Amino acid sequence: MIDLNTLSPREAAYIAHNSYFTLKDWVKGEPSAGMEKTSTVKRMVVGNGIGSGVKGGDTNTSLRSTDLKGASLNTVFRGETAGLSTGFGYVLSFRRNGLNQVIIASRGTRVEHSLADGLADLHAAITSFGGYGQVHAGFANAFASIVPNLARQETRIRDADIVHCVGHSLGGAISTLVAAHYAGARGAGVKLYTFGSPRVGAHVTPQAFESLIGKDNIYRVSHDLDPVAMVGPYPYSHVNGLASDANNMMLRSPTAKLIGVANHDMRRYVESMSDAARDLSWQDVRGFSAEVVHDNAVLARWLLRSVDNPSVFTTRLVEGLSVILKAFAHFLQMQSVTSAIISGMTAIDLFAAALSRGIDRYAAANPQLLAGLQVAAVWARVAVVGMKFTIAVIKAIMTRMMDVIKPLMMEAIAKVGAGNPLPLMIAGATAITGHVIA
Amino acid sequence: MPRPVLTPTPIAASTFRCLTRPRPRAGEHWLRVATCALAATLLLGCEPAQSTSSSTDTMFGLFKSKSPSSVDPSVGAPLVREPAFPAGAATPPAAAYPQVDRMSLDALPPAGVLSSAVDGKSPAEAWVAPSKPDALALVNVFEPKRRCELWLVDRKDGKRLATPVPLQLDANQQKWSACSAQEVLSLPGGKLLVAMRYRVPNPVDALFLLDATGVARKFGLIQPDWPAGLPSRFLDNLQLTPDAVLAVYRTDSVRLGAERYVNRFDHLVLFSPRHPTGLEVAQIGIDDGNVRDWHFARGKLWLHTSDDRGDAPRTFDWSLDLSHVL
Repeated sequence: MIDLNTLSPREAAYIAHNSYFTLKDWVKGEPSAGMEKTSTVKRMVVGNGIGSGVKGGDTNTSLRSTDLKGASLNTVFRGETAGLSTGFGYVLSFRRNGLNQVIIASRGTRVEHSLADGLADLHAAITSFGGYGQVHAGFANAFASIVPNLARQETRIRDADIVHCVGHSLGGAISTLVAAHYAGARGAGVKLYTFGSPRVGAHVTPQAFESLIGKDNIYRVSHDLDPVAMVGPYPYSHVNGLASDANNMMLRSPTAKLIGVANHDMRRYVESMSDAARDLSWQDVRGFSAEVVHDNAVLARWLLRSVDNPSVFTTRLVEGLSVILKAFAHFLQMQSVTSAIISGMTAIDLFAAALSRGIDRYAAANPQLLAGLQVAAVWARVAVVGMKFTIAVIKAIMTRMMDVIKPLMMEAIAKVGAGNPLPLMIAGATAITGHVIA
Repeated sequence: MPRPVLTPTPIAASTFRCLTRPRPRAGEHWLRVATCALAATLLLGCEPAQSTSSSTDTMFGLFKSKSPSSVDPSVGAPLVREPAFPAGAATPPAAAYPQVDRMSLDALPPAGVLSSAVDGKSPAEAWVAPSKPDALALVNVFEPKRRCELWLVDRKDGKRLATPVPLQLDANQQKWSACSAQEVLSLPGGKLLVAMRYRVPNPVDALFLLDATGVARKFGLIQPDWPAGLPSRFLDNLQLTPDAVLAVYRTDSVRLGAERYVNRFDHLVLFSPRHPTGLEVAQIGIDDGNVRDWHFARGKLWLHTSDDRGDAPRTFDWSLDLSHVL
């Protein structure tokens, strides 16, 4: 049964994809700082979808080929990141199923920023957001920059029966804040669709957002080996981040076996959400997600194997990793962290959470865990003994894992052709672990 | 199996490649041969274009093409670089064999009745090829999960499915979580060329040749035509003669940067009464460009290609004489 009050997977994926055309010259494949002309955005979003780099025919993500073909582009809005004001998204309205519906689309981050400006954001602090909890300051700043522009559409957004917030990558993070903002202002009727979004909120904030928007109204799609969806680590977490959440739709990555930047491309998400035989339903997507193994040890193995050609020590560590992670999970359960939350964590989260809760004292009294950590210590060349042994070993393992994720994440968001690298505005790992992405 | 190639060594290939550049005048011929031979000897290739499968490593290996084009020996002619693509291409001839019809089924097979009204809501859809003695129906079933079935259509009642044909697409197909035919091309002899998407559980695309026996040939994994944008296209075809069609599919995607991909190889496959299971007449490597336009006239195939990897696309025009294989 088609739910006309919810964007279909194809509609949502197309919107997340075509929102990039708000960035100046994205349509030419040569993005630059600035905002694209409204007429061009309109052509790419609801028109013929043909850009200068695109072959003729209906060969793009224009909504003309969907049920939203009659939608009206109301505005293209700016946003500010890293001190630069650029085209950031658009507002679209349409009527379906007898209801007035509005789409607020936000694009991801790309080549328009300078490396220097962006690096400053990497160290941005956690900040409070609308009384709902703590979020990453870089995302909050970007959100704050688009609010005045969205205010011009306030009446339309306020009076709509349903508001759909859509985005990929950074756009997914901003859309999460946009959805929370309007869910708080309106009280109901807000839906959120994200693809490859990083984590936005820390501690209990994601749960607060879920209560505000409604878990059933949050459609979070990720690839299991998308490096951007893995950051920032604990205490950040995803909305609908539990493995048991029906709308936590983690799909098998296109590359299938390796963490890689291709798994972050919106084009790849469109592929994952496509079937030319017939459009997928969200139920179809949930079905594909159900086949993906949610095991925080799986990612850890991939990360560690990616570090080098596995040495004997690496192989032994990887083999013993399940024991270590199970012990950590057991420890967290003793600390009243539910197994559902633990299953939604990556290995890095698990390590960070355990560190923050005093795993070192637990390890000292657990010979089996200590033995596993000693294997890891040899692999990581940790010479520390005594009270700080456990902490040093865990940090060493995390550092290796983060060393794999960091360049991939940077590459995933940083390059367009020969463009300069740029950062994602993510505060990196936590102050607890001292792993700040830089 | 490695493809036989026209030229056996890198040097010979490069020399040959130079000779296939815009044709020299008669008086300049030997001078150009000597120049090309010298340059080829020094650099092992003036520019990647002509086929070679040699893996000879030298200190000049960096100059070698990693994506060599090749032409099947049975074609009996090389891929020739041309100065321009011919303007005003003639309309391709109509196919002399029946084309597939996309139809809906009002119920799951075998009960469903075929109808030409396709509204995207029926529990199953079919591509029906009115081949003889039995029409083939490739059926996409959408409930309870997506799967693909092959049926023979009832000879007496052309609206009903009669006999299932076991589809043996892959040794591990029982592990697929979903499968559906994405694009179907009707071929001479009642065969179907099918771009299939299945999930393992990540989406995988593969190309198959189907006939009344089930699978006649598996071409392997394929990629969408990345530079052509979305929605993804997997197959293009050019009718050469009323009973011969050329199909192109792509393999080996290369990621250039965020959201930007090209394919390393375009495969041109000829289907005709002489080549009922397909003859790959040429494989075009990305160094010679991805095929963006094509045209057939007087036994010769013309290609316009583009290599989009650099800041500015490099375009090429080629010809390939197919008269020996038609």
